[in-house]
Amino acid sequence: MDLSYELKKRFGYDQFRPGQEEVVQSILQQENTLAILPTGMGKSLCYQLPGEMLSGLVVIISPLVSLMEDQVASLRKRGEKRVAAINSFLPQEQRKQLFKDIHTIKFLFISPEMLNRPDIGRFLTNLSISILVVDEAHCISQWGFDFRPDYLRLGEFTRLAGNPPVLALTATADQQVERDIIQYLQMTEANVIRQSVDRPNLKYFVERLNSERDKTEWLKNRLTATSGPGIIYVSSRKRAEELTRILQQDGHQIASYHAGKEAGDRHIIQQQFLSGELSWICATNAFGMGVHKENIRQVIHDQLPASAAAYVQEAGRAGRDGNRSSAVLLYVEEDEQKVRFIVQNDLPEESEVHHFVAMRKSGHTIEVSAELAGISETSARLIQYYSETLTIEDVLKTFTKLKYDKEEKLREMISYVSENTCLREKLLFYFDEHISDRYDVCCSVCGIRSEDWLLNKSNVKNNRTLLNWEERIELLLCPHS
Amino acid sequence: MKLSSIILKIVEKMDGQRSLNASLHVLRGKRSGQTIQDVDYFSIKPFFSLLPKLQESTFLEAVNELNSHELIIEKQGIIYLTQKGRLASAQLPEFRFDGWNYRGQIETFNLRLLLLVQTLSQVRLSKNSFLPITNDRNVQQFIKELLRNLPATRQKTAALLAAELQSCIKQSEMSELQATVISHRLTGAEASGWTWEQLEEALEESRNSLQLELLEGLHRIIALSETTDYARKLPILHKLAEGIRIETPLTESTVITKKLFDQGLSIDEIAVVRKLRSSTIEDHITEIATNDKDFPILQFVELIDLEAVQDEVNRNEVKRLRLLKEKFPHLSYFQLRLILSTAKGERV
Repeated sequence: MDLSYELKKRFGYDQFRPGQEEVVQSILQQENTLAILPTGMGKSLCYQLPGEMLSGLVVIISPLVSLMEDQVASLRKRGEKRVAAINSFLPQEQRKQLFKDIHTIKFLFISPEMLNRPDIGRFLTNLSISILVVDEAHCISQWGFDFRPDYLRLGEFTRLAGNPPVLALTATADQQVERDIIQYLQMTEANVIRQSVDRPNLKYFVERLNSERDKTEWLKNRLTATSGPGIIYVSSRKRAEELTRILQQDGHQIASYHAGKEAGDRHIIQQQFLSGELSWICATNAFGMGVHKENIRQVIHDQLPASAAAYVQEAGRAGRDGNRSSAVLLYVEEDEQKVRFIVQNDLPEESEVHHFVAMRKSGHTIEVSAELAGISETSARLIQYYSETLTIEDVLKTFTKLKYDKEEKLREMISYVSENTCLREKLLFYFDEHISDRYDVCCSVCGIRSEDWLLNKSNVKNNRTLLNWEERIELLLCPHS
Repeated sequence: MKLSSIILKIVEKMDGQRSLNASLHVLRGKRSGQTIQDVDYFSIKPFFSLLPKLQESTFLEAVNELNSHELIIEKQGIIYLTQKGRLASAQLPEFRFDGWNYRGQIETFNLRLLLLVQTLSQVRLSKNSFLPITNDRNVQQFIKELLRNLPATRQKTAALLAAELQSCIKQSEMSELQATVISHRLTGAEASGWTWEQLEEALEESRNSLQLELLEGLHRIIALSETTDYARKLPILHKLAEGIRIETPLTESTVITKKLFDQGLSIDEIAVVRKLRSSTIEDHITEIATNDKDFPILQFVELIDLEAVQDEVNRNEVKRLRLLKEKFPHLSYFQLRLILSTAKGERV
């Protein structure tokens, strides 16, 4: 079969990006496939192309409503209208209508929560599913940084659906996460197609500093000397606000972004960043997923991420256009303790587990029990899931192990910032990869004399001016003259 | 527009009769018998539920300002307007809020307007893929439906909406500042909206003040657009304002009570309306609370009491009302029942 012809005909592209063709081949041969492709390598094409070529429904499990919508929109934009999405926001009436018209749908996006509902699960297992796609498949692993307990039940769905070929997609998975994905999705004889996480155009830097104040000073100089667009990741809302204020005083077009901001402002800030009106975003890790900006030149971490996988994911938002970009990590010694505290606090304590289980036994709902036990809803669903098959003792053991693993992940980052080994080599090592090529410009350990690609000062200066209100309305809605 | 000015207006109406907290309750739209009676009695319905999320600290800051300018004075927990305050109040422009009728719905209207403008702004240039300004499903559905029912081309509809907005803003007689804030919060293709921070800087006014300007401006726009008079003159805006005014439909027993309650009526008012005893209505409310995990229990019970009773229930397994009543004599049986029903998720 001439896949290049199909690619040209259906998508208008002349060639595949690395890894894509292999994945498509594998799926067309009905093989369970795990594709680990770095961000921006066109993961969605991996199911869209075979989906178009095969008969039957493509079911795509997606963890975020916004991601789902992005993908629905991009399919529609391409002219594929046989698309629908089911999530908890879809009114029941419309869901019923959709089920009636299911034969007119080719690509069905669904959240794992909805798929786990018995009525919906049953309905879907009776359909002819050509490919079951699990997007952001790392969410299935407790060792992934975005664990979603609802993903754990997907394996059962696959079985009930008569084992259609499963395509698990993710940007980052080390061996452990890879094993989890294959095990929980029950992907027998899985074909693993792994594209290196190495991003040659990304240059890694670690800056070891003495204090929080030094970090701020460093950032001030950095933004004055180099150009964006860029993201500064910080660990708290407070820091995001403070840092933004300081950098604004230097005249930079920067805005803060975190979950505590007014929803309207969050949207506006994203929009301004995409359009280039803002050069910098100072954000907590709430910012990033679903934001498609190709020309981000720098991602700077003001604080240690919880794992190498998280770091690779966040830093990887830079340079999607393939041009040279910088990933900088600022580190002071106290950071280790700070991050450890945050990370370990994510998991419930023994007493909290007991409390939650007792509340469940006395007949409370998961939500109420979680609240009474003072734990997060994710923790609650986690306990719920494990306690269905394990004894309390084993649940506790599992959590102890998880805490231990999280500590291990944190150690990776500590060693990343404190040892004198090539940074690229280190990051690759965590994904069981080895450096194949040496780059003349690699990382701060290998030595980089100057970041001349960032010196081109093209940062937007403040040229925001208020319009007369009538003109502003015309600018928004009337034909441009 | 300052929050302190609005508070001054409310204090003026309740001069010498109520505490400071009464004003806060009015602005937040507290659904207790006292507050509902107050707004009626003192004719301050326009201010009711104007700022449902108003922080106490923000409120107190504004009050301090009034205090330091000696516009109000507190004596034995009661707030009075000073002579200076009376003069200051007379200087203020007339506010055109209608909190009583639009309570809690302004944001819905705002989001509808934002999304409609954004959508038309985008599709007018055939840029059909964009990040919607709101993720609110109901709003998205509403706008989709609305656009489906507009016959003109998108370009034409966009131009029509521009004309409607301009004419509505003029006729509403809002200030230039308000029109500026409203138009710059709107977002669209090649014209991203402005964040509050950016507006603060450009207009040299505090965010709180600008947000009040926007709020009052929206009240004006809705008030004009929703009238049947304007159904023909401002057809798009008229549709946008659909269902924003709070209505009081009447059906059956607890459902009726729930509907009345959702409208903001107090228990006593519902009892009067329905010609039922208050205790019956209290039963209904308890039932509603039991079945609604988002039930606003703090409108009936102070947080400190809620936690104390829950604590007691959890620690000593006390569920009997009489025993709880002995422990917490200052709480009514109704309050205790409410706490139990929401905290435990079951009827007592």
